[in-house]
Amino acid sequence: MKVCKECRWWRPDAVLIYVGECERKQISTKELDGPCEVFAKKVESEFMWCSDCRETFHKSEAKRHREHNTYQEVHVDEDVHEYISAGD
Amino acid sequence: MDLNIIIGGPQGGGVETAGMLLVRATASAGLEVFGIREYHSNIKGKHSYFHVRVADKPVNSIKLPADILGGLDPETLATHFSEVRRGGTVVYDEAIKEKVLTKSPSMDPAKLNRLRSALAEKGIKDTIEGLRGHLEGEGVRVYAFPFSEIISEILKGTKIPIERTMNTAITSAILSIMGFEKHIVYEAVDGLFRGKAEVVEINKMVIDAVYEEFKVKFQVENRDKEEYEGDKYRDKVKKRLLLAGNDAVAIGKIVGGLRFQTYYPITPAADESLAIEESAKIFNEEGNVIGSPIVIQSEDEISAVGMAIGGALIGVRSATSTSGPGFSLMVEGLGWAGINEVPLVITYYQRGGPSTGLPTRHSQSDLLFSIFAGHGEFSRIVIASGDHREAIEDAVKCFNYAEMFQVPVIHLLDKGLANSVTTVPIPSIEIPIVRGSIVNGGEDYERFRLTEDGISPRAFLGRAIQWYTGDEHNERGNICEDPFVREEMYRKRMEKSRTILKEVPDEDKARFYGNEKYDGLLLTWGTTKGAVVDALPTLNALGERVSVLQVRLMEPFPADYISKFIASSKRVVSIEANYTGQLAWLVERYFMREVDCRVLKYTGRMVSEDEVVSAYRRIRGGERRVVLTGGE
Ligand SMILES: [Zn+2]
Repeated sequence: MKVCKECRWWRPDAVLIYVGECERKQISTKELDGPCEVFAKKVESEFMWCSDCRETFHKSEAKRHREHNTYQEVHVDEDVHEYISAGD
Repeated sequence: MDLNIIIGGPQGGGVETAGMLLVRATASAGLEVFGIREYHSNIKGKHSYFHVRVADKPVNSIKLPADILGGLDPETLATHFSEVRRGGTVVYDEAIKEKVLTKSPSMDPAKLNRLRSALAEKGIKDTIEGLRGHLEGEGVRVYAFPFSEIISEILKGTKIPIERTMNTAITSAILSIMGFEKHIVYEAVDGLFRGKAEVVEINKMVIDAVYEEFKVKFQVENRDKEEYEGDKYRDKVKKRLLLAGNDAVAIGKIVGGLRFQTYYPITPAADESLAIEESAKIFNEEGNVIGSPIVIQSEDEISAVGMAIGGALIGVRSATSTSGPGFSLMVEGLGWAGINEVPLVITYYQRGGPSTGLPTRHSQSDLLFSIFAGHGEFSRIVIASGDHREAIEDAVKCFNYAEMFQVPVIHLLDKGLANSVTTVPIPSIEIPIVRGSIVNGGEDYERFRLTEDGISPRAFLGRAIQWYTGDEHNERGNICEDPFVREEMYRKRMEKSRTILKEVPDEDKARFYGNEKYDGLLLTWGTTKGAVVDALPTLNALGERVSVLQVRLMEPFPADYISKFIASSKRVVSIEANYTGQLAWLVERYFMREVDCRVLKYTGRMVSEDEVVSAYRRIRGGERRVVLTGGE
């Protein structure tokens, strides 16, 4: 399935994991959108993002995330200033 | 109308905004609202939610089961589905329908295990679709709506990420289902995003689309509107305040003449200092702004209490604001204020302890600590507010009492108050500012002069020579270890407690709710009062006459006043958010009488109205200690 969530250019949102950002097109899309002309298979890289664990992992830890939804990178919306209460 | 709505999602993913939209919209429709946010400490992406209760009568608590659940992510549905009542409503984005419930990224393993057993027990397939089937079987109306689809249409050609307006979309859907008119949601958006025209515009486009499509796709108008009756409430807007507990205290302090506030940032107290800093202005009699209270973030709480003491000695109304860990550090300063008879106000928001404990969660476990903290003996006042209105007024009174009796005053609050938002009638605060005995000093001034009423006339620092040390002292303040002087000074400080009990009015000692004739008396304090008082009609309908006594003055303990209420009760039940029953302990200590039953909750979540009812049922069934665990 050549949908966004399978594409190397797609970065899921850090918190709402079913929407994200296309790095190539610089637009916001949903995980099952597609297919489109820039679609490309994910490649193994040193660091990947796991949206099931909500963490970046090193390729040496890949085993732990084998069955998980992993992506090249994560999208963090820096413009969202929603107030998050500190807890300390 | 009396509806409970839960809207949840990953922390930082718009839950706060969604909750506030809901609160603002329903309040602007003329309804009374009580909303509490539950969130994790410092972990972005962890599940958080807003529980909003909307009613056509004042409410001061939440209640389960929920009528409506809105989920920004699969985890919200996985976490709260069993809290939705039969025939309730669930709303979420269709895009998540294939998500696996037990694959929620931020779910605690303990919760995951509970979820697995619940799914197995009820035979629910482990996906959102599977859950949908189960809920529909329970008579729940499930609206899986293509929110992200709609939003991505609207945002086409812009660079605005879809997730940014997801909260507005789901909230609009909920309000639309409830039958509220669109302009009410508009108003909420205008208010919440004031000054951000572009944000307002995009959000309104989303609202338009959701309102339009929701109508077409689900034809909800008749089914739900009739039940939820939102359309009955419009244009009935009475002017009220919509505020959080932190704001309430800030307002009270400002009205009470606060001039100097110190703090070290800590949950859930810091917002109060920020509110004062942002918005407080001091006007002269001509109505011109002449300045603002000084708010200082100090390097730690030891310094914060020290600076507040300094402010109070100089003669301005001074306070510091903190929670348990901060108060622990302030205890040395508290004792110093005790021996030096400093009118210091410490605002103390309890949260889950010990140590860092549950920083963002509710607790009432520091009652005894606030009463007994400090070495040696000295008089102090501890006054506990039970709701936002009280918090405003008590903040004024704390300054009055501190200066009238020249003792440190602890204004005891809790997370449930700090982080809950509610509608409050605009208070006309008619509490006069009483500054106690103040003199100009002069050459022979003695700061600690022994007087008939035990209160030494107070000169401000700079107006007269005066000596302050942490040591025992004579009337001038010079260090003195003479046994007779010691006895006099010790007694002077301690006897203030008696004076305080004589002079503080009954309404500040305890408040009574319910019928004057009762068999069961529910003893409570702090924000737990909200749930207990809200439950009163239901409790009385169970067939036993029940009333409520909310204790407010915790130190000195108004045993005489309270004894009348206790004496006429067949059964005394304490309800509070701690393990031991700290108020019950105080009552037992003063009356040499056992409190018959304790209802306790220490999960970090507030006591809800339904829990009070079910606890009382269990007590009637013979239980003497009921531990509550409701809420996620
Ligand atoms: Zn993983």
